[in-house]
Amino acid sequence: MDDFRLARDLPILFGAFFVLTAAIGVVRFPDLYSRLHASSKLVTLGSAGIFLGVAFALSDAAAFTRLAAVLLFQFLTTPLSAYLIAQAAYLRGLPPILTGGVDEWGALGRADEVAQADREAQRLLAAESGEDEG
Amino acid sequence: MNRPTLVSLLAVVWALLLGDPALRHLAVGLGLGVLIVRLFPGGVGPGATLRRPDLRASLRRGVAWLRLLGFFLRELTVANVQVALLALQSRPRLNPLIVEVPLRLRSEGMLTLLAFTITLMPGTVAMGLSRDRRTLYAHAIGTADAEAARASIVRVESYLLPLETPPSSLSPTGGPA
Amino acid sequence: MIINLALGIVTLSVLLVTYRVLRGPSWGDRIMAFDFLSVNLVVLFALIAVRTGYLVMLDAALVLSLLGFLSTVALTRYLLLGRVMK
Repeated sequence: MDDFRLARDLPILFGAFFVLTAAIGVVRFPDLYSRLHASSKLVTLGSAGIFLGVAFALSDAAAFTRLAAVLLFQFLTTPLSAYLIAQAAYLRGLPPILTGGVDEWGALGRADEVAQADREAQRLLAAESGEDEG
Repeated sequence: MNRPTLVSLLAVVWALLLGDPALRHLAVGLGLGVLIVRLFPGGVGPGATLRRPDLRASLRRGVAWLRLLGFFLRELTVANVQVALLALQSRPRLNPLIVEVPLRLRSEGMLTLLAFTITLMPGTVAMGLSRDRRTLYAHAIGTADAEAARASIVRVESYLLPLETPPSSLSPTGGPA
Repeated sequence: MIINLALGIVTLSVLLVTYRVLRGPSWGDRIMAFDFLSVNLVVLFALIAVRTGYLVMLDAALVLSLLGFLSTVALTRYLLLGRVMK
């Protein structure tokens, strides 16, 4: 019984520590791009730990599959949303703080080109499907 | 991702959502998966046909996947500890910079996997791809200089290269333009 | 009890992230903080499920994590391309 409690408590504490650290990082880091490091990386181990502990605490098959689904989904989506946010912010012209060196991308604020390319692709797609129907 | 993989993934997700991996739920999930893939054909990537299984090659690919998984779990732990230390230091030396990395990978799926992996790796977050998909841009913190950040991304890429399907088995047109 | 302690820690982290949502300073920070807030709330719901024994909380967590990701995708698409679907 004592052993079982250890399996429940240790992952939960471990996970809660990482979730709190991620929040501290999100508040303390100087710009959006650095904050994304905290919010995307730390939360994976944090939520994995908490969900593992919760699964041990509930020890129920239906709860276990749901927790597995949530964990899998979060694991897959967290890096994707970090990528999307960084890309949109950069192309929309939010300047990064770069004390470490130069910006090798050099496309800051060029969202218009991307939007233009997207509109062209949309038009091509519409023309294609129009031909298919007609 | 090819069609059978996608359909079986959807079936498993359906069973997980119902909270009961019984056979009939999986069957309903398979039916729904076929329907969804039929409705949204854009979700199936180029080269989405079943190839003739080659035991030798699939064994090699399996080993490569396992190596990637081991590497990924180790690096994920390191990344968490590193960023936690940076967040808790009184004066963190973030040293933020944006690097460009010329890519050797070509297929869309592998590029997605690369961006996914380096975002969870120590020091780097993927930020974007060039229009011709030949260059990846990433934001790095906590690395010594641009060369070190680039080297860590190239290392991930070298783990992914053996997983990429050779160009000959892709569809000749390379999918929708 | 350890669950109460974990609930306290995660609530503190939710408050810190809420500060970032309100403070900004850019809309990018707000989207990031909102996305992270939904992740925090998912974890909080899982802990509440243990505390109260309502397994229904896990379904709420699942739906919330789906909605959080979808809204992030929609917002970033809108801000980058000026359109969400069509």
